[in-house]
Amino acid sequence: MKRPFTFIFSILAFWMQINAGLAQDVNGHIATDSTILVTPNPDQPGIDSLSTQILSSTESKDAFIQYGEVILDYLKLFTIPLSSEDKAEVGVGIYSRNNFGINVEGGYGAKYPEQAYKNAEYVSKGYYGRVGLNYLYKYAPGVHIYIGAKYGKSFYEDEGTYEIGSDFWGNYKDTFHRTGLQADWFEVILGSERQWKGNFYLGFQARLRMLRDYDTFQPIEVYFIPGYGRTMYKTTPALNLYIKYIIGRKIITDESGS
Amino acid sequence: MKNNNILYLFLFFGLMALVELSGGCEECKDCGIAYKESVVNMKFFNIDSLNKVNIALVEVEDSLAKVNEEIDNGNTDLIEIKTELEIQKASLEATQKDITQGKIKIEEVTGLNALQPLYFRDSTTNDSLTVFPFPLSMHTNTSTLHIEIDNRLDTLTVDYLRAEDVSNNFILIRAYDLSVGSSTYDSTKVICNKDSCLSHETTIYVYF
Repeated sequence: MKRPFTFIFSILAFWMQINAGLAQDVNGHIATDSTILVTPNPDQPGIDSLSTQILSSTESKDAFIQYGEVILDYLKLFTIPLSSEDKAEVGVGIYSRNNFGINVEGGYGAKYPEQAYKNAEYVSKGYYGRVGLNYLYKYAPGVHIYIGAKYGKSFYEDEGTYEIGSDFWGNYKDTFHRTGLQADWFEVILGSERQWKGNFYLGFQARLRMLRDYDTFQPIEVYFIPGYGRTMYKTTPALNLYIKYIIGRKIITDESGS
Repeated sequence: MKNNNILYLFLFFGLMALVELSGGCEECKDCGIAYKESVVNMKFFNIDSLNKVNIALVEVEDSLAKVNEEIDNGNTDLIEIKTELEIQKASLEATQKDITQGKIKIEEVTGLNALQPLYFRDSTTNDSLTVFPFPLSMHTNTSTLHIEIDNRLDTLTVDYLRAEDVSNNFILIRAYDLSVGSSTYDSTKVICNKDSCLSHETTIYVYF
């Protein structure tokens, strides 16, 4: 029942992502990271190259910390209507003048996979955090590409109820609940983001996660680690789609600059 | 041009995201209660009947030898009796073979604290079997079974250890290291060809 909602939300988000890329090209207006806006003036045809205005710049070229950022992973919000999982993730970061950035992310994950154990109702849920270092490359005006590495750690619990049928003796039902579980992993990331409106950016981040350690049990193994994924994959990719707000640097838009 | 490339990347990863989300909604087709309880294989040998059949067979063979001797001496009146004895012998030999193989018909099995009786029927002949998979209780380390064969009711108690296991993503209770705790049969023998056997790797031979 929840699946159509998720699909519609995904389509909307996808449209926003595409639209963010296209909106910047309308009438040739380009808002850039260097806070220079080229504004065609209808009263002075042909003046594009001459009337380039440096509208404002609050960015200090000398400060070591150039700007901060707040990130919301909107893709994970689409899991809220899903019956199989709930996820939410936010992050903050700062970037230096040499384009290196430190970021911290935190999130909550709960997964109710039907196929984890076929005769069991299973849930794994908990909180996780990641800390990482990025290097950002300004690929084009308003467009960033970055690479980085992260370390992640999850604090979680899992529980399940399973049932084995017997017409003769009667069904057998039992539960398990394991708390205080921990896991950690490393990640390498590749991402790109594009200015959407003003200080808002839309972007994606492709991550390759490598599981380092986690609490194991036999024979009923932990199926899912919040923030990492399924334990059967010791290396696993992931994708984040996010919206980012830049703090401490004024980005000029058409509206604010005219 | 650069902007277009970035747009394509957004498109690509956006599609990947959609695939990932839609893939997470796959429904599990064979999920639910698993009817995969532990069983032990049982074989029954009716030794009392076998002894009777053996004695009868010896008597028939002795009679047949005497009849053959008389016929060889020219007494042709015994040919019809010879035929009857040969039929009896064949029947007894067939019965002897069935008993030796453990082929038997169990009328009914009930269990202490079990929900309902258990009936074994060959799926094709609705006749006797030679090996009977008896379900073991997953609730305790002992299963007490009441077995009715030829209007004779016996009780057999099987002791074992239990452990959780996972097979093909099903959580199961395995029974292992089986032994016969008590029995009203003449004798029993637990056959396990390893140091430790799971219940389905174990066969209990019952003699009565």
